[in-house]
Amino acid sequence: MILEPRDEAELIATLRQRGREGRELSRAKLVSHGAVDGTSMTIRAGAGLTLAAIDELLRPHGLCLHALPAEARALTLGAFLEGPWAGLHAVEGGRLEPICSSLAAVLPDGRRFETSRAPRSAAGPELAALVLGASGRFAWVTEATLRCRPRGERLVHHAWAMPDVASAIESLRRGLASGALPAEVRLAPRGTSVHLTALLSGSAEGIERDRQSLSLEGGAPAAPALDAATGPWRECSWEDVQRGLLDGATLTLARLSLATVVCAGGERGLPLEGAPAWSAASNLLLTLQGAAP
Amino acid sequence: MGRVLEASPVSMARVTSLSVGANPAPRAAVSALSAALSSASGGRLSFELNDRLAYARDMWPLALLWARQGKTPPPPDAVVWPSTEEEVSSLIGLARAHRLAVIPYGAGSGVCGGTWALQGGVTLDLKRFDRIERVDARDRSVVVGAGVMGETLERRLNTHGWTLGHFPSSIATSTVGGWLAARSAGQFSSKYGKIEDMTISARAVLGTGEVLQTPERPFAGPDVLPLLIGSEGTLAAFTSAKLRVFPLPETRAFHGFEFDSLARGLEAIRLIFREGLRPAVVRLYDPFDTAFVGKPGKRPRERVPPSERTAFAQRLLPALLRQVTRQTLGRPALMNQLQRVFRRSRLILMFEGDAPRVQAEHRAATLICRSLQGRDLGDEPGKAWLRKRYDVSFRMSRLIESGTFADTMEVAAPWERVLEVYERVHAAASKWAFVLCHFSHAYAEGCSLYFSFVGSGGSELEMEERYHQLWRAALGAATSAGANVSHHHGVGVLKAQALQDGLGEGRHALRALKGVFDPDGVMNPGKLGL
Repeated sequence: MILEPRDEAELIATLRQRGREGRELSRAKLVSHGAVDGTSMTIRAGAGLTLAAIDELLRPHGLCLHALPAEARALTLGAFLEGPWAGLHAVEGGRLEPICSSLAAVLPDGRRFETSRAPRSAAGPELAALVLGASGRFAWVTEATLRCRPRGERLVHHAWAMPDVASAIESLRRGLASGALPAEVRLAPRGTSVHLTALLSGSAEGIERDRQSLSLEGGAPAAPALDAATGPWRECSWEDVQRGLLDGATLTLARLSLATVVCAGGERGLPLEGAPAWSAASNLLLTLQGAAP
Repeated sequence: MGRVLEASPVSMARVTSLSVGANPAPRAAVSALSAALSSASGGRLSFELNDRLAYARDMWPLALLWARQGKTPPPPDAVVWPSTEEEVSSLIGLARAHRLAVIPYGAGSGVCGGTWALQGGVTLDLKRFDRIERVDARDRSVVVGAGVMGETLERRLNTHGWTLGHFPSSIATSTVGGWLAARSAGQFSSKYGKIEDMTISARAVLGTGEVLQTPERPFAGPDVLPLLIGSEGTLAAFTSAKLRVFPLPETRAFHGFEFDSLARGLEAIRLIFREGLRPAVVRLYDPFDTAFVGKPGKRPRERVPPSERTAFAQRLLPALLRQVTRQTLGRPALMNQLQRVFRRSRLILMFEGDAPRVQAEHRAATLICRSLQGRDLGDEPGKAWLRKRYDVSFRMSRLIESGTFADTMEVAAPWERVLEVYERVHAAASKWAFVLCHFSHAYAEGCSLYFSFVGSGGSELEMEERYHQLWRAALGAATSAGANVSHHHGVGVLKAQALQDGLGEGRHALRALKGVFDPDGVMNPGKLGL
């Protein structure tokens, strides 16, 4: 039998209750959401809402979530934050911010904690790390504040023919370090050269800034080619991307950062479906585990 | 496994001072371990009084108020200077076996009492972890020992064409390990992020004695690194970190604007970030700061050291100055009322990076500021700020000399709360001190507020009492208005109670983490309220 509490208070009461052994708890009904905050461009949403549903709530306010593949958008907020996507955690430098700005979660005994809604803190350990990517083993997220951005006035493709794999990758890394934020990138090897197409969104001036930043490594302008990509998606290092291209694979990159990218079309990297094995460092935390919800 | 050391939150009222000259000997239990401590630290151990007194305090201004009263924080029992992870691990093992406190220490520039030896113990000065590896140009990263001083690192990176982009005002007196322990931010954080945004991975010795290397992305499972960053030595001692580096910027652009009101200035910042622009520096001064303090271009007065001053300058003038400041700052509400006369707020922007991007972002930001009727001040205010940006720390001693107390409080809040936080802190703090504020470290969803307080009182004791009341009032007002307890200075002892109160039931999760990483409670007990 599956228990589906309708709100956080009911979830907490259920966790505190004895005698629910053998009954699964589900957050499917935690679908409430707060008002969209146009000033800070955030929305507070329940863990049972899908990212696609959250995106629709933002549409009348001229906002949207950061670009994500369809497979991610189909996940509930809880699954997106707690599974291998780990909420697409913090990334170094540039304009990239973790999608989740703060969250509320319950511990297995029903105690609740909430992280600060301030953009950054120096207030001890970041307790959200007990939730992100932790498969719900230490705490269950009940709701989270998500960072949004203005729904782009336009979507434009720009493309370049890069002389080789190294220059294609350097072009992206340099562009990201400079502040560019492509929504999606396709890399197609053609002999030794690589055809690079980037999907840019935003204001006309913003798109032009990003185009310039992605042009810093040179490369001849080319006709865009960006087919709709399907998964499976993996989180890859830039090393994985380079090896994939050298193997001749056509790759689609989403949610690029200086550290890793989310990639389809390759075979390397961390699969973002299923339950991949945790790192040794993550396993250190298992002594925290109480009764699983 | 029992708890060894005091576990309840330490409030400022319970931090006991010593009289200067009390010169306590190290505890017998620690002296008895001399041979073992020496062996565990490669022979680099000291029980000398002067060493212990030097490590007794950080830069928490409370120690300055105490100094004027002939009081000092309690010193640790011993100081060690380990140079390997094995040594740190052995020292922690000794601490666990003999119920000693261990206090990881970088350069001691924290402002919250985070390295005070509240329960004696052994201070671990980690500055011997001083290697800087070669920059990996393709990966854009560098591995650095936790004991490396900020300025040393930045200069070394610069010689090879790189920058870390991390410029706290304590850069010459803070270490990489201290940055990670406290979640520090630098003046250019709006572009490069805070230290937690720059750290790719780290090595640390946990309170269990285990050495941990955190993994690099991609990996599955929860990330331990954000649990250790900001733990202020209560869970682990960092030994090295791999940090993200950026090429030295091709160019910089400065621009200053003055707005009719603080609200307009804040709106300008919000719109700049909404558009996706990322100036390295964003500083908005509140009206009083704008009217009196923010003005650039004053010729610096010649500083004569105290020992070379005339009798008049040495004694009579300071006494007169104290009287004057006590009369004015002793009635801060009066001074703060004056601020209502002033309305204009000044904004300084600085962009740096690739030339095309800098020019484009600068142009876009200028349009936004003009659309809000910002008065164009050109590039001089920004350039002047950059020239003098490290001077601020040295003004503190002049204030202390003139018989006042001074401190800063920095918090962060989402945009919809920023003005309310400002107004409530102002109202609450004005009873105890004169209040200045600037806004910086901006994000798309909010910013940091940096308050400066200057106050006085009829006696040293009264000043200390006012200092504590000021902090209770100001921090309480900030958090009740929706701010956090700190954006980048950290918690230490000063804000431990506020942190614990704010966590609510979350303190159980924090305590559970303590139980995992430091089961015997040896790591910096009493800080963060742990």
